Amino acid sequence: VTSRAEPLIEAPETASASAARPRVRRRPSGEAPPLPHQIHASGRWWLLLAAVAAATWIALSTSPTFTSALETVDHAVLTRLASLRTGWLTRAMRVAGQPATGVALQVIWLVNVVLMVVWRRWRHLLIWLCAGIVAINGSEALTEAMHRPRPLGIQILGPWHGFATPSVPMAAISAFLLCTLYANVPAGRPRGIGKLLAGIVLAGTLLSRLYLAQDRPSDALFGLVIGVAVPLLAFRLLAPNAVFPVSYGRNRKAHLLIDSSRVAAIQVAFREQLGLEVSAVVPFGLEGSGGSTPLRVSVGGGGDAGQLFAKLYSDTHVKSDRWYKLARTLMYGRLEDEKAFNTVRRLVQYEDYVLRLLYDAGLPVPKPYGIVEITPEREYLLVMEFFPDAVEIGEAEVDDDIIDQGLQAVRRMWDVGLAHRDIKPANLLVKDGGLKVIDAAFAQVRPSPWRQAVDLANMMLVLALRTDPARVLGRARKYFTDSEIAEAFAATRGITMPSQLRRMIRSLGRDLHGEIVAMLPVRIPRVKIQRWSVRRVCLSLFVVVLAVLAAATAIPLIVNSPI
Amino acid sequence: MKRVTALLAVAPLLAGCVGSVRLGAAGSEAVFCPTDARAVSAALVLMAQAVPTASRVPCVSSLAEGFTVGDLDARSGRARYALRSDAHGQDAVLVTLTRACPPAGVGAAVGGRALSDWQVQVHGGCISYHLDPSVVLGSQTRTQIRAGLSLVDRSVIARAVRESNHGHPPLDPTTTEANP
Repeated sequence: VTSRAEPLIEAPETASASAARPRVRRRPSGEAPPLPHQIHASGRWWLLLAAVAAATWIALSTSPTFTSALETVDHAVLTRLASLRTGWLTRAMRVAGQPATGVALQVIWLVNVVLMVVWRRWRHLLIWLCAGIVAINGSEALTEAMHRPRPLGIQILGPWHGFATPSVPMAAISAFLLCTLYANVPAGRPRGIGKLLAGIVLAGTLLSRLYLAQDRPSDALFGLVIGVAVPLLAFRLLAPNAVFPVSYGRNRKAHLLIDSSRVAAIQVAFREQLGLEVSAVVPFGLEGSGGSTPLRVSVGGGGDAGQLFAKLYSDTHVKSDRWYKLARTLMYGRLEDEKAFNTVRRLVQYEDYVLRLLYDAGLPVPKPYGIVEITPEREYLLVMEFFPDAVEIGEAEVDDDIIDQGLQAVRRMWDVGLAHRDIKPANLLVKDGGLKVIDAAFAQVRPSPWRQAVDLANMMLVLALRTDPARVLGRARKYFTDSEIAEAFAATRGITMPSQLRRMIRSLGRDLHGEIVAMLPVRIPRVKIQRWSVRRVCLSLFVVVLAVLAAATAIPLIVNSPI
Repeated sequence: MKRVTALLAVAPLLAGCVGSVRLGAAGSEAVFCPTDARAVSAALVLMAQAVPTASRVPCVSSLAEGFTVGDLDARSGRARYALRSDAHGQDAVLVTLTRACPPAGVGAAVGGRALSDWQVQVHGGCISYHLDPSVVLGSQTRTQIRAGLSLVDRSVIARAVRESNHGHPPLDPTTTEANP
């Protein structure tokens, strides 16, 4: 069987697209994905140092000759430093060693906790805690296993506690400073400066502990290696900056950083998986999106570059989806309860699927172009048609034709058993006299009648925003019965409308909902919005208990340091 | 890469599983007095370092039946370990080495009862023994405990350190450094 490695999808309409397209290439087993998990060169260096430290410990445990030799070297360094001891220098060194004391560590911890809680960096907080505990408790466990006494043959001038190797205070201060840098200092220049300052503090502390003979050089260095390697590895693997950036800006939603490495990865992924050459990737409409990072992708080159729209999804968006669905279940009960996605791959697969269903059903949605994998199980792009020059319906001229298109779209969804579930001005675009429906993230197959009804009412309200309720109702009666419209408006009120639509109706200063209901020739039925279920009761109780437990756990953690 | 990373991450922990250093024996053996068959432990060295002036360091020569040695807590200026009663599930005797004996109060008889605490003053140090009053012990057990509590000369520890390090560095500084 021969294969030309043709892409599954057709290229968007560009002159260059039909020309020599790159061949789709299957990534062989073992080859890194376009954007692999990275620990960077410095991370590898620290890992190597950790390995050297481990080898040294093994040698210390098994070889008397090595132990004796290391002791001699350590003693020589400490003796040399002790020969410099003077009154003022000792006082200065005691000050320099303060960062590795309990009070200083407590202050660092408290400042970090406040920053992470205020800026809601829960993932960073969790990693901070775990890395700190692993570094400190791991060091303590090693001291108990190693049983190496304090520096011999020299007067120890500073306080100490327990066995010496590795130095627990050095591990603690290194881990705390590294965690601070990676959890609370934005990447780039600020973190660069932070690293320099942390390096100065660590160097001062290390020198102080050697001068005062609290640690041997090997004890201090081993503690330092543990304290740096553990948080570095944890943050780079579990909260890489490209996915979980530290930011203090106002727009801190779930948007990923579109930096050069990610753009390069997107280019490779498009070339290998879709057979398309990407010439530019730019964020597009970020302000209207909280659930993904929307991008405009230019494919092909020169003046005939085609445009594609892509939604970048990552772990963070799965988390947002989970919270969103939990909140909806708590707010609406049985009407809105649904299971959250447990992986980003499933989330993207689902949206791609419903988009294809909508597209195949003839609805005016963007043409789907498939899924592109950036990092397996962590980051995917959902690629679809881009509507250049389309304007949001709130800014477009709305005539009877547009009204009909909107109503027909809802009618068609009803007929094929689909619901969009997020009909709002931001998701309805007008291009060349045609209405386009975008963002199928919440669309559902075989939805409840309530959800279908809400789609109709929201569509009518959006259309009425730009025209008038009587005109929209008149057109709607061509496609829906009065009782269907009445049911739709009975089911749609208050929180069941998207917040953007509610806001725009409020700013209009009119009761569009009431005006349409008043014009209906039938009485609107009573549709209960709040419906309790066993799941909702259990979830509500669970959330309350969890909140109490979290408060009970958080208060001692905040007051005391993790050590 | 993941496997290499994981291996490197756990390697330091594996190192700790290999065993104790030559001077030190881990666990309950740590504070046992040295004999011909038993070397000076790292715990005794650490206790000697905690109170560098003490001419003698407390150790355990034998344990009463049903007792084990608890964890050593050594820090600059003080070293402490406990004898744990398995039957009571708690520390029954607390042995503390300090530079000087605490002021009156500790070791005083209460209401005419037998002394539950006592101290041994050594040159440059003090060893305090505290029996937890909530642990009821028979007179025979008390006698066994007291008989098993012993002291080791600092010179013995220093000699062991010297022998293990081929003479250098010694336990205590040979020259007096500046101590501002």
